[in-house]
Amino acid sequence: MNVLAIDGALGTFSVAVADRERIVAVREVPTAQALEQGLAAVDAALAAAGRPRLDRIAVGTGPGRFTGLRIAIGYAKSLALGWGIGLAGIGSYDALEGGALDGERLTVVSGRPGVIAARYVGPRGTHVAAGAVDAVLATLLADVRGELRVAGAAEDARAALAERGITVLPIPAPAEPAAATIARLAQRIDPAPTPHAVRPDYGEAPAVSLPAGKRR
Amino acid sequence: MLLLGIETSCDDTAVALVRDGRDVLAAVSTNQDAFHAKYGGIVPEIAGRRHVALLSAAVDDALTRAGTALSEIDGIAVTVGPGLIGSLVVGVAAAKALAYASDRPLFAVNHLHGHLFAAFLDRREPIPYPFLALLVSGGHSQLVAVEGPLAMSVLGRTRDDAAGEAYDKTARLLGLGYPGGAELDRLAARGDPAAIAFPRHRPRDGSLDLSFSGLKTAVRYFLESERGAAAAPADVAASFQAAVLDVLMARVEAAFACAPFRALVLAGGVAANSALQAAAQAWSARRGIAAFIPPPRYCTDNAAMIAAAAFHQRALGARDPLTLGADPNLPFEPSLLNADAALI
Repeated sequence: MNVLAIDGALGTFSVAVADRERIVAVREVPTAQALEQGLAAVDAALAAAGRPRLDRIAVGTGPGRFTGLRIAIGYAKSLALGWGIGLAGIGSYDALEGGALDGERLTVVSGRPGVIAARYVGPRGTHVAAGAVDAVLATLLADVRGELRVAGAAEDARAALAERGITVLPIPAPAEPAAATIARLAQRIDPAPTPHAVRPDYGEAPAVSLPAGKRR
Repeated sequence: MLLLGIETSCDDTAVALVRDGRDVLAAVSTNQDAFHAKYGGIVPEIAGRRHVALLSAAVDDALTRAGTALSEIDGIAVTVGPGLIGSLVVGVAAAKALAYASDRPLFAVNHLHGHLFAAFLDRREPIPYPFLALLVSGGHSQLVAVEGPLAMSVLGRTRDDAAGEAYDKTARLLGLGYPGGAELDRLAARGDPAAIAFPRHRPRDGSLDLSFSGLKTAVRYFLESERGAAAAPADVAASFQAAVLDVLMARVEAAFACAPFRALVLAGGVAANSALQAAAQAWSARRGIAAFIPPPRYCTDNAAMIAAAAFHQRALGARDPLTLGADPNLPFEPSLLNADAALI
């Protein structure tokens, strides 16, 4: 199955083309140029892959960089609509874990300074939270002590984890742009019922407060 | 020529299919007012998120309603500015990818230019160049001399608040809901426009510029006074509206004294105001000069006007490259359209 994958949430804006599990083309552009150069990166990746007949498009659905996420999903939905093929959304936590992890672990996505989004998989299930580092860790790891495997932006949480008596056992990040991992992961899942059903995960609610008179 | 238009410059997720810049085959718009109302104004982050959630479905819906497919359209037009950057990028990214996937030309449109052509949608008359456009919205208030699709100049603009902004702020002072302009218009219809003599801005330098902040402040001081506390809200609304309309129509009259315009065109969200429409029609009948007033659905932000502007301005000339970006502060002047545009 030939998959075109796009990610704007993690690190650089990346594009990959996969033939089953084999990555045949990868392109990256700085996130700040995702709008202007992102589609050229798509075209360049497809050209490098020999313009295969695509079976599916995959897109990173976040959390991560808000603007990059919007642009990547905007591209992916329109391409799926235009070419009449399915679209699969892959979350940032799965992309950072490479889809191959099991057991207890924390996966961290960098946000604004002092802010993270994180997923904890533990004995009592899977939980996610986003916001200030301390608050996220308090929410997810109230009963956790000792050593903990951490994927993604472990450094963003290392000091706060140490204060909670948790020692980080870093899980190496995939040695490829996020889009390449997403292209592989998308081979293993069904696409969304329609491209419209693919929704971004911003992690955080919009940073806005009600006018004083409307607060409860 | 059948164009698909996309508009996401603010809080309306809009898509339309328009033939030859006039015939609207389908127009889909999902207004986000309900999501912003509790905050008393548009929250840019919420607007951007809603666009991402809604835009592709709006494209699909518009194509279905028009009974057509992407393969049957001749190009894609999109608003590239001015507007909220987090909203603009969603529309531009989607439009570029649609153009790429369907191998159709891409046309960048200035949102304000779109408003100038809205009054000619669903009408048969030729566009009566040169015309004077009174462009009044929540973000802009200006008088524009339009001599051709790409020949236009601003004769006067607001020096502070836009007309729509003054409406919304005054509506808030009166305790009306959000968005307040339409509410104020309805309330004013029941009031006495001569009840309170609010000030009218008259520039001493003879320019065609506008100003509404003094009027807004006068309303606030009035409402804080003893007389204001006892005044009927409908009278305050009607008197405020009368002051706004006096200023707008005085500038229109002055502009027509400067140049032989063939028509007056109302444009922008405030053009949906019933009292402004009535004033423009009365002015038109008195002067014997045509007035083009769009129906309310084309006064507010919409995608049909974007497709129309692309047809009139660009479709016979240049197409834009897929490296097109968005510019939240895009200047009004047409000469500053994308320098990388290439001939078809």
